[in-house]
Amino acid sequence: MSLAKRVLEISGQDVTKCFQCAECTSSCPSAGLDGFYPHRLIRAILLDLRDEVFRGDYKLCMHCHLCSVRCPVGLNFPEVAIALSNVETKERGPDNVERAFISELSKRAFVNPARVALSALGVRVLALAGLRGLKLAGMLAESGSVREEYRREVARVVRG
Amino acid sequence: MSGDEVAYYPGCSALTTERPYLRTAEVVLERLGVPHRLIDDAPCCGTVELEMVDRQASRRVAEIVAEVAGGATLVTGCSGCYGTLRRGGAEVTHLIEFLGRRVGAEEIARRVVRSWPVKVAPYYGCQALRPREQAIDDPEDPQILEELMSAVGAEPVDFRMRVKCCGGPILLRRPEYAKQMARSVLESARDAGAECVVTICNLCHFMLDFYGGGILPVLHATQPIAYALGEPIDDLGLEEHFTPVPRGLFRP
Amino acid sequence: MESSEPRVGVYVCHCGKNIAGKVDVRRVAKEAGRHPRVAVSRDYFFMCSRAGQELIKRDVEAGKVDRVVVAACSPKLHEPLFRRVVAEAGLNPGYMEQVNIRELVSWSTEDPEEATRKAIRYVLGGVEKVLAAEPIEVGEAEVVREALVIGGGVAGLAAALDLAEKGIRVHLVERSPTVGGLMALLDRVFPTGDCSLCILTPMMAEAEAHPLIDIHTTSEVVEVSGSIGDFRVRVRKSPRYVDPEKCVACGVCASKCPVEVPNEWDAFLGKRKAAYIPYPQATPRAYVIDPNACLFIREGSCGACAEACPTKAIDLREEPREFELRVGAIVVATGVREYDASNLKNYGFGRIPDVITQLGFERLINVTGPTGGHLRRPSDGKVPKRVVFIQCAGSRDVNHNPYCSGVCCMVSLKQAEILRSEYPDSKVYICYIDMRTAKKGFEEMYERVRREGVVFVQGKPGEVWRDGDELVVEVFDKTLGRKLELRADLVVLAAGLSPSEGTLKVREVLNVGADLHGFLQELHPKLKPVETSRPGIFICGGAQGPKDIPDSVAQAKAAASAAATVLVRGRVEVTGERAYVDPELCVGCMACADECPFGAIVEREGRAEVVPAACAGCGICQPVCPTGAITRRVYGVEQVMRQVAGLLEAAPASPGGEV
Ligand SMILES: Cc1cc2nc3c(=O)[nH]c(=O)nc-3n(C[C@H](O)[C@H](O)[C@H](O)COP(=O)(O)OP(=O)(O)OC[C@H]3O[C@@H](n4cnc5c(N)ncnc54)[C@H](O)[C@@H]3O)c2cc1C
Ligand code: SF4
Ligand code: SF4
Ligand code: SF4
Ligand code: SF4
Repeated sequence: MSLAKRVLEISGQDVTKCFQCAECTSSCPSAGLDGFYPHRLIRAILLDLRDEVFRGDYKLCMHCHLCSVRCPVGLNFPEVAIALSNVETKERGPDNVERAFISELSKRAFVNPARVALSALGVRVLALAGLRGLKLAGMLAESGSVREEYRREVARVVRG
Repeated sequence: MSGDEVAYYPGCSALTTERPYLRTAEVVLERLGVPHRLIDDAPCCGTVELEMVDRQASRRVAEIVAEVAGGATLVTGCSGCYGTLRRGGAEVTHLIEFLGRRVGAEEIARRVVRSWPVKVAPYYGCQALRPREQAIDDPEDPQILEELMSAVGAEPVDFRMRVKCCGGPILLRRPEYAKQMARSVLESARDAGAECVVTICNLCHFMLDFYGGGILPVLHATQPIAYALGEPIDDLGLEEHFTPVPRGLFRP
Repeated sequence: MESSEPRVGVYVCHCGKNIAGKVDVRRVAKEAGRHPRVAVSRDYFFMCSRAGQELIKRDVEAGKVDRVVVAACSPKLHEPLFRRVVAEAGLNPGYMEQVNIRELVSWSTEDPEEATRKAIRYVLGGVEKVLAAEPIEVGEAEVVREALVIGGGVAGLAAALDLAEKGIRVHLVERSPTVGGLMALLDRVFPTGDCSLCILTPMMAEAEAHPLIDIHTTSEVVEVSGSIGDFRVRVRKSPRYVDPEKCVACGVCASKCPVEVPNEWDAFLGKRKAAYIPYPQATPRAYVIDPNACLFIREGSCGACAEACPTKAIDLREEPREFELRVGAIVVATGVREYDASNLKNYGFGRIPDVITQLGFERLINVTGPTGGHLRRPSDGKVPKRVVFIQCAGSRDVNHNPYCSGVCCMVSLKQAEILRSEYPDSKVYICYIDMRTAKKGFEEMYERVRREGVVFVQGKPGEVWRDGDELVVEVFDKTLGRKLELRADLVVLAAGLSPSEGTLKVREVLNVGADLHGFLQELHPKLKPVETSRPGIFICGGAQGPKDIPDSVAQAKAAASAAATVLVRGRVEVTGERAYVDPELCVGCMACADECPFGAIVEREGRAEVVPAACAGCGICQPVCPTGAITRRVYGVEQVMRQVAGLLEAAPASPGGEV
């Protein structure tokens, strides 16, 4: 099945509507990061250029939705990105960041942003945060109550 | 103000780095006479990351949270949770929408016991405004937070980054860029003459407070509201911020 | 088959591939032929062609059939034609039934098998219906040889002048205090760059002076009854408070008036008094008082203008009045307005003073505008050195107007050219998705403007913001492959065209169709471009769809000509396709008259009676009659019931079944 079709199935977003005005990219705070340009991704999806689509830059979308509220044809790019990611996870499993995040979720059922940052970025954050990092580290001991059902759900996702 | 019970979903950062948000949110509901209970046994919303991994799983989380809320009005103060739960199909109201539209800014103004005459930059971030289907106000030119801030005596300033992204969602992938975004929010608020920024989201607050380079103090919107409704300064959790909040900000 | 029983002929049209590409027309004809009352059943490439018409005529003339079913396109298109064909063959036109198997079947059904079955059902429904048909009488009525033109923009003026030149008396009803419409606010017009008012004011003056044209300004049509040849039109004239006969346009009233409000005639960039004249060339050339701003009218104080007026032209107590017109035909030219750019939050219109629209730009360079024709930006009055145009700012956008407004690419080219020639130091950028320059002389203008040094950036900007006293336009330049932050002093939004408020309103009053966006709907996009669903009412100009001046005028002339065809002939055919009252059944409750939107039912001797010329044949009266006395011919209860029965019973045999 073509990528465009899969995206449509998962997200309801029909990329064939795009007329390449580039208003999404003009609006996008991530545009240009590692060659990420939302309108170009849409084009690559249409042309079924898998390697280009799955280079990974679509994950730089911040889901700020400035593009989706402005897109003249009503396309929702973040939903497209989610669909792509769902496809990719099915095929290749979650990436490192997602893994760190999900494992935090499955262990504790809630996420401490500082803690995820630590596990994904290692000491870098600590160093940057300086002394305040210590305060953060103290918070890592904190825990919330966990619902069994939920834990199972997350575990399923992580195992793929 | 009474009526339906509110089931308040704090979002997990409000249990860790953003505790003052949860505390003052509860204070505000309390002082406004809104019956509420805290949801403390539902999982993290999963954020966009979980949606990215598995849409279905994310929907399931929203379902669980809605179940836990039962018949009560599900309210959250975190825009990130709000967006994820909404997209997952849960019926959820953003705390700011609840305060601004259900309770009403006039009602809050009526209950103000002391004014907070500060030049403030009301910062919305993204998820409370966009996508369109989940917007609590105009997606690009909202006023609801300005109304609430005016209600407590503050003077809202207009600044370029008010509805832009805090950088949080790519913190783990491009930390330098994310931090630069957080800083640019604060810079733009400072350039517009604001003395502080108020946020309406756990993640936005974390980003601006922790990564904003200390350019301006960053408050949760509920802190000045709680203050104006009579909560003692010492109970606002000001010392728990990463960027110190000068107490003078609350001593006109 | 007994010869006294009606014999039906069925004619299934292929419409080239339009129908036959989906529907198995042979099978439809075969299946229809199995109906016991169907004597002849044929299919043919184009039933509407000469040869197709002959097929029907021959069968009727040979006495083979005396009822006809044509299964083809929409009756909206060809019903009159096929009625005429059977009439020419000596049959009453009421005995022809057209079944729509194109729009309703082949164009709107995916699966060929399903489409074929559907078509068979529709045809059999038509056969049953025609078997219950009653003859319709066709008569003629006298035409009132006067015309009404609604809207006095360039289109309305062109139509009125054309009609008057043909010797027809014209009533021109204009909502605002002056004729001229949008064009009167423009500075120059593309692609030739001639001065807009210089070519428009002669038309305005000629219309005003023409002995056969009556101009009614500050007036609106509030009700229209009757039908082609004899419309009764109620007009409501709002007070102007200034007698245009006495006013010498000295302007003393305005100079005395203490109230200042934003001027809608200057795209709100300037101010005017409550006593004002829209622009110096306004026609009639007289001042007017805005009742929403005037202190006297609002709260009974002031009155300074009336006192000061040297000719005593002002009457602040003037009341609105209504009058009636009788006309044979109506031309609607109610025009367009610029789309409300304040919906474009990301471009800051309404928030950032130096973000203006194209109409604002026209006013800023027009000598009759707020700056006397010297381009000054609104915030600080400086001459802008860098100007960025944003195309499609409100058009081609599902959040605003989804259609292309058609003129704004050319308007920006025109304005860029004016900028470059009058302010040679200026730097001009045009950000666009596609430049649409498809008509005579347009591409040449595009080239000219490029050679003037105007930079065309392909990419739609995300937003405009203010940085100090500069504006910044954030746009991804598709050619360069990266984002630009264009620094500018002035940003002009190509906001495009929407139907005018009057266009939206007039449609309700006239009971004519409109498209999704509110533009009035022509009867057929190619062949009946100025006709509407209500005979005798014609449309033109911006009211019909966004368009430029040349197209508006061309269409206005077409509408005038179509209206004149009715008026010059002097008589109209009054179709029998209308409501009839059975006096035996009518109890005189007059429930039908209350419902009739066209005022076509009157009471006579305790019974309802239909005025043939006024009845539009809409059929609304039929279901409200408690005794079933009133029937819309061709859609009588008996006919419709049999049609439905035919539709439902006819379960066609499976394909390949024995015929
Ligand atoms: C900024 C701008 C620049 C343009 N520049 C050019 C150009 O350079 N060249 C070009 O060819 N075209 C140009 N156009 C397009 C041009 O303005 C239109 O093609 C033209 O005005 C259409 O004429 P009209 O008579 O159909 O409608 P309008 O000009 O809109 O006139 C309609 C008239 O009807 C009146 N009216 C409305 N409703 C009612 C009612 N219910 N009852 C009575 N009266 C009513 C209105 O008051 C108005 O006087 C431009 C448009 C804009 C917005
Ligand atoms: S804004 Fe919409 S139509 Fe324009 S390029 Fe982006 S996705 Fe395509
Ligand atoms: S939602 Fe993603 S693609 Fe769209 S503007 Fe924001 S970051 Fe860019
Ligand atoms: S009466 Fe009205 S229009 Fe005349 S001067 Fe006074 S405010 Fe102006
Ligand atoms: S004419 Fe040009 S600017 Fe106007 S809507 Fe069409 S493409 Fe856009």
